[in-house]
Amino acid sequence: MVMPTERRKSSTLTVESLTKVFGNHTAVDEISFQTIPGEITAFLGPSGCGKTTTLRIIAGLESPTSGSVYIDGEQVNDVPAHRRDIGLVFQDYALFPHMTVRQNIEFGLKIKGLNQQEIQERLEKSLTQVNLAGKEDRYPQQLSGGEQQRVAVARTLVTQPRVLLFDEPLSNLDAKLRESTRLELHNLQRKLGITSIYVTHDQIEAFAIADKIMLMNKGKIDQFGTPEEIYASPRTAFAADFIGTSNILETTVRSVNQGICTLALKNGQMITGFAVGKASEVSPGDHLLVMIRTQKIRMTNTKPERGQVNILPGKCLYKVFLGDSTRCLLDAEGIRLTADCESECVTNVREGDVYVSFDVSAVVPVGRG
Amino acid sequence: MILDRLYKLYVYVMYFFILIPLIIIVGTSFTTSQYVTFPPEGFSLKWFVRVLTSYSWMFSFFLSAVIALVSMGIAILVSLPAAKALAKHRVTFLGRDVGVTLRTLFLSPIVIPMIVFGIGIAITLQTLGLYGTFPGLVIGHLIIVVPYVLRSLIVSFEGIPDSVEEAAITLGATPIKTFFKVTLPMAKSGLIAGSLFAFIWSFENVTVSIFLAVPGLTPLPIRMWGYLSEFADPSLCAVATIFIVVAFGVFLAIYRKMGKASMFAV
Ligand SMILES: Nc1ncnc2c1ncn2[C@@H]1O[C@H](COP(=O)(O)OP(=O)(O)O)[C@@H](O)[C@H]1O
Ligand SMILES: [Mg+2]
Repeated sequence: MVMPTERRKSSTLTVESLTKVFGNHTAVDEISFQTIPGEITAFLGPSGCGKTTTLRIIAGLESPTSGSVYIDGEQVNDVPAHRRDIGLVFQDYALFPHMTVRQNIEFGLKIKGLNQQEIQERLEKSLTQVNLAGKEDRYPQQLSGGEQQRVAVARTLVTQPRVLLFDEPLSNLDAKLRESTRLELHNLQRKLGITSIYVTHDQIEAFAIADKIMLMNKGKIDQFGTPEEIYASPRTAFAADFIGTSNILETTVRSVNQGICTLALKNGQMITGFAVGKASEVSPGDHLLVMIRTQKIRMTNTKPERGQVNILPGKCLYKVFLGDSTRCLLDAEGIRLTADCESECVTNVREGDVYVSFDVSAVVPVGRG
Repeated sequence: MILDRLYKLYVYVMYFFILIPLIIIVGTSFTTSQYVTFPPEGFSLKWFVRVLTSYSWMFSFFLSAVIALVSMGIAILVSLPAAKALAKHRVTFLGRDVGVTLRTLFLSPIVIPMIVFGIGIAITLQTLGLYGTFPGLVIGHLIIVVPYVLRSLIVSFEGIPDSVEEAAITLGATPIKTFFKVTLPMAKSGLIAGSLFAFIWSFENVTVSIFLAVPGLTPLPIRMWGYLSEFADPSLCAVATIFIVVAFGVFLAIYRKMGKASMFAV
């Protein structure tokens, strides 16, 4: 990849044991991670899990109760926000309402004391980058939501910060615009190669834009990894539940043999899974939580051919047609399961008695029950 | 339909009752007679000429204007940091949050009868040896005026989202620069409206001034009050007319600058 010439090399952001306590509530709890230069890391998690607080501490707008923030190995805890050289795109855009688009974008450059020519050059480049050329003399109130969002991005990007932080930047846009803006943001970040943090509570958005995901729950890191890793092997029941749609089942280990473990469901039925991850350290009698993705469950009227494992007799309580897929609510002798089946495969399946089946690899251990 | 018409009629009657004293005063100021009569007899500007060429009337007029301007100016300087602190920061004393307490205290001159303050200020100034001086009058008026400026500034500052100021900071502006480049410009209309109201309240004040005025240092409203009890010729109406024009001019300026909403914001 060719780096644009005027950019310095991408920075590394390191966070060590970051903790923030508000009163008696721990909003951020011992968070540690490191980004790879030029990558986008998404902070993903439900509302209130501490994403914004972590971001604000990195930006210097909030001071941590304990822990440290490093940029390129240098500790910046005591560097005030205005000298940290970290860009932040706010959820509400936070544009200056008394300034035109041009003045908004120039703000950071004038503060930095750049000469008029350089300011002009960067302004023009950035206006083209975010597709706002011709609108530079408007005030923020005279722009659409999408345009305001692009001004907010441009205003931060022109200052060429060492690290770029986004706090749910698309959450105020309508669904359609969100997707196209997300693509533009992604391309722009790739082109500029600025190390970025992207906060969102939307899993699809995080997966689409990020190189790494930091999944957060109640102020703690739940799992850190690539989107593929987190989707395929969630390490906790929370991760399994939050990412994608899945069934979480409580089981008791019956036997572990040659990489295969046999698990008893609460209704006494047996299922089989690979003894990987958390299931590689269990022994008979242990409790184990397993996840089965809703897309991995099949439903048929006739019993699948012999030799296949993980076949449970059950009832289809009802089907909801969603277009390409059909969501089926199943009852396998007292165990509720949700399945997302291809609509073509289940149009002829009647509600009532059915067989529920899934592969051995679909059973993913996510925790000790 | 009928209700609509009744409502309109009601509004016009109300206007009439509000405006009638003004109409009488303005009308009378153009009279040719020696006494206050309505309707006026004839038309002349002689009362205006008399007032505008009278040293004592003009002295009082300018004294009031200067007091109003100086106390407005000092009130702005005092209120800016106070309003910023109360609107945007946690204010603590001995570890307790005293923001609300301070706010109530600063705004109390609005609710406590002015006449009580008047007496209090007069006694205080006497003790300080400032009674009957220009600084004494300004201090008195400052106490009337600060709450209005403070309140409109607090409201304006509170209307500014924290994120806008934080955006300026992450773009490299120091907190001081952020205040002058972002916070203050965004609070401009509140500042102007608050200041102009402050000017009017000081200019027309009687209840505090009456305790502070001494011969040779008599603000306009006090001179009018005194004049009324001794003479009752139409020059008083001419002064009142000038007064109305000044006050109306200031309110028009606020309206032009900020629109309807600001008239109710203060
Ligand atoms: N200034 C504050 N004072 C007290 N509590 C706060 C403050 N800011 C955030 N919190 C609390 O910290 C928790 C995390 O908040 P936040 O970081 O905004 O979550 P998220 O961005 O993930 O939705 C929440 O429970 C919130 O109520
Ligand atoms: Mg948030």
